[in-house]
Amino acid sequence: MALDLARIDQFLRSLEGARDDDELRRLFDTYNAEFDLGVPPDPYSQAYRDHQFSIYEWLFGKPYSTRHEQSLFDVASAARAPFPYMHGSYGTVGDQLIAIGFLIKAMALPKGARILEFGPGWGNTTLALAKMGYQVTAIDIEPNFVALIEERARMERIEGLEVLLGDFSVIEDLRESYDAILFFECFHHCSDHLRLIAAFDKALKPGGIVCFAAEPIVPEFPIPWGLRMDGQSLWAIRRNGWLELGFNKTYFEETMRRHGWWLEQHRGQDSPLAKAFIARRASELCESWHFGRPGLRSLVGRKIGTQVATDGRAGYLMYGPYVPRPSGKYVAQVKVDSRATTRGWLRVEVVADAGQRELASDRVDMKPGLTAIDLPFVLDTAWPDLEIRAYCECETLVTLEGASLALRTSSGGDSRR
Amino acid sequence: MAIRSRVRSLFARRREAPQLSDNVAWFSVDQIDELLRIHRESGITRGGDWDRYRDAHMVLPDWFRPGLDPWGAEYAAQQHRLWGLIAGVDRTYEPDIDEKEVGWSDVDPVRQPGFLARRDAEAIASASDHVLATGMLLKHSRLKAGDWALEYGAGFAQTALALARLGVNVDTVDISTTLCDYVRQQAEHFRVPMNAFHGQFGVNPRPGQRYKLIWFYESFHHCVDFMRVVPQLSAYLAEGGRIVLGGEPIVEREYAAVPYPWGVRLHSEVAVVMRQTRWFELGFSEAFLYELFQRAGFTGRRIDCEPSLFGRLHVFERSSASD
Repeated sequence: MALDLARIDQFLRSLEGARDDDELRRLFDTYNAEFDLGVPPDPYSQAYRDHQFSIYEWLFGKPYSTRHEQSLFDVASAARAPFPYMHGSYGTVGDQLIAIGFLIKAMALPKGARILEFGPGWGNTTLALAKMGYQVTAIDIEPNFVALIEERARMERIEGLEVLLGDFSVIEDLRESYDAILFFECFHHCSDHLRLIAAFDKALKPGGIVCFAAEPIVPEFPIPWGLRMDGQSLWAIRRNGWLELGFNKTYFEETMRRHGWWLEQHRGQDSPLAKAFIARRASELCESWHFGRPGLRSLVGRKIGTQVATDGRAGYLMYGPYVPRPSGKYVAQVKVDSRATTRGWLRVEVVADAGQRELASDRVDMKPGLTAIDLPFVLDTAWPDLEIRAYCECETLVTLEGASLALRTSSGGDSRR
Repeated sequence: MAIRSRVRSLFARRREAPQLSDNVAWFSVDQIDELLRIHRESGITRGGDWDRYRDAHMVLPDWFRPGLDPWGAEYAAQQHRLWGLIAGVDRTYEPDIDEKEVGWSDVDPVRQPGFLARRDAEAIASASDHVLATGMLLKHSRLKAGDWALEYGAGFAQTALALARLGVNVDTVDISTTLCDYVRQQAEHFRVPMNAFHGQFGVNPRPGQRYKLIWFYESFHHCVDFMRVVPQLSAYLAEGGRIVLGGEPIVEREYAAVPYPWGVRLHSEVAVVMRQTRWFELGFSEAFLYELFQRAGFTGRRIDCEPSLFGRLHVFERSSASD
């Protein structure tokens, strides 16, 4: 084992002189131990897992148990001044609030959505979400935190909140399904993340998302996954026995992809905690619309059943559906009725930000037998209001069936195949 | 407050506006009632009738004279006339009458303060913007427990509450007695040193007290008397103190919504709200605002907030302090 316990303990002793929480956090940043890079080659293997937990045992002195994930405090006083308010640090409170606002914006859930939150701890995210009208089920392994959140909810008269005692394995026995699963600084405490990821699909409704907020999932993490070696993590592991894992971003993306999930990254600049990965089912990133359902509209066309045909006027024959999409490579498709007579041309476009940002466009001549117009495009960042539109001239003659959006996979195809 | 919040979020989106172009849609003052009708009957859902006006701006009336001195009385009088035209009233603006809050019923200021009362997706996005902005203010407040801070136009005072929970003595000023009462209820519930005062912008709530922080969050753009108020603030500010503006419609360059150094904003939704409520909805160019504070002896700087324009702060310190 390459870890030098004597040096680590020397560092931990230096923390005891910290005057306040701000100084403690500054001191955390002054030390990093070296990673053991001699890990087994397969990060999905039992050998790899055993290797990581042997490091934990070396550091803490005992094999890992979820019983170590304890936090002792007085519930009554913490309810009135919970973390981070308890430390009186404006920077820490500011960072937390920025991160909470950030993650709620990133999740962009609909009114009244049901959220399953793991490891809420002090309950700051839980209460903020419940205050906004979401139905939150919070699960924590620490009875003190369960009692604290219930007390804070009572004090602030917050409804729509259920707090349960349990660990990550609870997800496998849930009877309900949710619109979102949230981890805020929590997923990295999970001792079997592969088992947890495998359970997401069953726990989520169609269209559901998983949000990994303020989690240590970074490209520079030097091994696929394992114990973090920064000062704060070493303090948490050696002093408290908490499991402090980190994940390499490429490994994490690949792992999620293997389970059918597509990850989008959201990152803010104003707080180190303002970062989140949001996972959506890859299969759900393909969607079609026709003129018989809400979403697609026409300014100049004549509606015929679920189709729309040109009526001799120039203008937008089709626009909509204003849907959100995460970053990635996509193809938009405008579907043409090949049985109808065609003439002239269409200008097809993919735009975002209420038409202010053009992502792709093409002028396409209408020819007999044309069934679809494909527009590939790349989203560098997530957009909430993607629009596909088709502009026609007076002389254009065409009937449109609708439009679709699909994710292009790394193999070059789209996710409909 | 719901409408006010919606208008502000609109500004947040449009603050980084594109250059004027042929794509900008326009409407005239005569169409405001029609806009109001569509807004009431159809709402603002995409795909509806509001689409025609979603990104539209009002054409300035023929009598409007561009190029007047923005520091002069003639310029201000012209803006007041523009306000009357859009608000649909033919009299002098009176903040006590024209800046009344929207009526609510059954408000629980502890459980659902302000923006948390509505639960639609747009309100949630707005609420998360406010949480984020509160974090930005705290992070850049440079305060410690026991310091004194003053907020003008506090509304439901969520930023003030966060500061008070950290032990700052916070005074809030608002023109609405109802909102002042809500602030008091929250202070009592959380047992924090937060005191509400009824008054207009610029009032000194606690004569003799000097504040380490004076801030406006989404309120400075209702301060029509800003040329008198800003120079006054120096007298209330403690040594080394700062004035912070957050969540304000301060544009980097003039464009269709704010086509002048300062004045009534001209976006379609703002026109609808002004016609409904008679609020004075101002916007400022960044250059004008910074000169305004500079003339009062302050040097300003902008702190950007990447995920939300509500979190963008403008921080002003006495010029001698920031040298």
